[in-house]
Amino acid sequence: MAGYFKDIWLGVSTVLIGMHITFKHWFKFKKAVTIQYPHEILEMNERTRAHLFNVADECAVCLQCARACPVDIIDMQGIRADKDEDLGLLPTGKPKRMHLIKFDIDFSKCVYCGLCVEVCDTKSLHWRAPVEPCTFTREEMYKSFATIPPDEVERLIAFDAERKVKKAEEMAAKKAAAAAAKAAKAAKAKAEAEAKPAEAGADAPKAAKSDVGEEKKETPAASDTPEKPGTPDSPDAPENTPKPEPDKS
Amino acid sequence: MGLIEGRFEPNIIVTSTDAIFNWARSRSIWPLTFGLACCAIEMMATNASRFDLDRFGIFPRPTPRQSDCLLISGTVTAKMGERLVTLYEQMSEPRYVISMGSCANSGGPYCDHGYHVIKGVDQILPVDVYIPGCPPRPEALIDGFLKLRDLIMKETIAKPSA
Amino acid sequence: MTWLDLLIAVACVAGVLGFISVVALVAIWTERKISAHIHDRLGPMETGGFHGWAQTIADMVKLLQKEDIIPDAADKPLFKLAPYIVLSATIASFVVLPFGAHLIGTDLNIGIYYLVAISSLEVAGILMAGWASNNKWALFGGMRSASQMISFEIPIGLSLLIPIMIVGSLSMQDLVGAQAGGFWNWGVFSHLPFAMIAFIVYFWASLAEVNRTPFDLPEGESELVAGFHVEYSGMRFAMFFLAEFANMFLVAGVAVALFLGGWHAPFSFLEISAESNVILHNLVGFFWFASKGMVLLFIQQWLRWTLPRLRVDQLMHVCWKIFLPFSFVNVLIVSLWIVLTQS
Repeated sequence: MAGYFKDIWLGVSTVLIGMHITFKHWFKFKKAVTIQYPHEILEMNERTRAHLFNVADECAVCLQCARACPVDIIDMQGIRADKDEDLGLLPTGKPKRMHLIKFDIDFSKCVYCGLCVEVCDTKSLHWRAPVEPCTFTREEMYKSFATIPPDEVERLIAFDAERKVKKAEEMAAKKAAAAAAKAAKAAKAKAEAEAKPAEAGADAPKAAKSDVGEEKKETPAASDTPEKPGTPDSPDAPENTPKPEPDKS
Repeated sequence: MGLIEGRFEPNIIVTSTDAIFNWARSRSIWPLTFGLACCAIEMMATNASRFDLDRFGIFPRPTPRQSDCLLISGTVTAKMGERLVTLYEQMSEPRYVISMGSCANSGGPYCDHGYHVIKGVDQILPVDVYIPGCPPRPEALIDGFLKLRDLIMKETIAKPSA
Repeated sequence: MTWLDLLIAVACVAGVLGFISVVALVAIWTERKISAHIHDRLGPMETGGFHGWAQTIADMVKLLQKEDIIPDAADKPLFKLAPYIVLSATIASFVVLPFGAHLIGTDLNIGIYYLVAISSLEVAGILMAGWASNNKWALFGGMRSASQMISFEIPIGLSLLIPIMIVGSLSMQDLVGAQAGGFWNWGVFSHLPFAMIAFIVYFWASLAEVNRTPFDLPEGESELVAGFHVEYSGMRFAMFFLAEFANMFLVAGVAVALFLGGWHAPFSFLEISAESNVILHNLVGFFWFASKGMVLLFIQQWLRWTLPRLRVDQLMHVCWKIFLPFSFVNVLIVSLWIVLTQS
């Protein structure tokens, strides 16, 4: 009977304690913690991963970010500037040598891991404060950060192709020259080899001996797999050796 | 629904009805209490005291019959996709779908190698608003709801001008 | 029946309906605001400007134009009928609630008896909704609702017997009239502490009667998706919603009428006598009745956001093992008291 009344008393008193606590919150003895977002904006930390942005003028087009990206969503392309072209200095102090003609990020796939920002040497790719804007379509989330206008991009591509052609021609010329030199060298070597044919005949038995040694090594593996030609009749045996090795271990 | 939609020319009565209906719909978006993955944690955080979605009249309803908005918060696996479609079909018109986070938008980290993940929830449901982020911050989710609000404000019950 | 009677009846129903709607709208808004402030949040802020005052209006307009889904497997006539039964039971109960000296639908001589009887009709509606939905969660919700409402009728009835015995009448106006002249004459403070215990038992049991937390098992979101109204959408759901909040005011109104002086002010100088101005007398009475009812409504909401939901066995324990013996002993002692003092 005492337990019964004690239970009731416990119930009533704990309800009153609870009501006291909620009452304190209700009447603002503790202030509301709500941030009324569109009207007041919570200040984010410097490293908050909210909104990815790339400054095209500061980008060295080193492709480090595209390599670091775990979901391969950074689609970037650069064109080497002409030797006498001045593109300004990068934040690292070195001169900018590449035109950034394409830097697209598909934010619908981005996992906001920040690996691309970690590896960025020039810090041109960085986090910004406001959150990524929402969109009505998936295509809108595909964003481009390259600032070069399209006609300029076309000009650069044409220039690059021209340069490549030029370079290829140069290379071809170089190659032809090198080939000519090689041919001359080879002719010279042939003449030398023909001069002493006896030496090659003396080396042949040594090579045959080493082949036999390898064959012996193979035999345990060969017995496991009899259908396999374990004892090759040709002296090309060393080519087969990598295959039985996993069986042994 | 279906009794008054697409039957009248856009005259003054229809447009003022539109104004009231759209105001009411956009100010009272009740999402379904439904979480899939880590974005759901962020959704709960947005519903909680700090960001308080209730300020916009957005408060979760447990049953799809009474909710207006399906908030897809997280990775949609092929198995869960069927359930999602069922839930969407159980909802009453007008209904909206918000795709929250990279996994729901396009498969996110699973877009290339996830054999079990639907590569974008728009393959199975008509998505109204996409929220990028992994997971999106509460601010981004609020932005998404505000964007959905803008979308609802453009609706009309008038006959579409053919 | 003359035309005038009919007109008065229609005006009465219209007034009650309007009052119910306004109370429900205000109560839903305050509920959201109170819950928000208890959570250190702000609650509705955007809709309609000042602190989201238009939030519930937007909700209601939206619910009005939502698609009305009737499941294929549902028992269609019952499914359609259920919300009307719940809402009309609530409205019918309001008829005998004394808002003022003359602001009463009809002053039946068995007013309180009628009220208890009619408000139990709601169980039928809820059970009907749960059954007709052809959904296991809805059926569970409806069953739980029926069991708890029927069990809690008993402590409620026994607690209401105390003021009835003290006053010696079943008419609502007689019950209110006996409490005139200052708050020390109110029902709660007569036959101390027994009427007080009756009031507390009534108030707690009434929470179970209207399915409020901590006794909101019929709609427990975590177990039964939304309880008996899981399959209802649009306007039919809005009717359940409206009935729930109107019922909250109804039980608060009964508590006010029987225990807290009804439309009488806490001090008699705050009232305007019926002889000087009848209309003003009624309006002031209405003000006191409504504000006392709202205070009890706030306490209901305050309790809701303080306490977690009970288990079914705990609920039944509270009803049969605590409320019932207390109200029985209460009735015995008060009747003895009355017999001894009257002879």
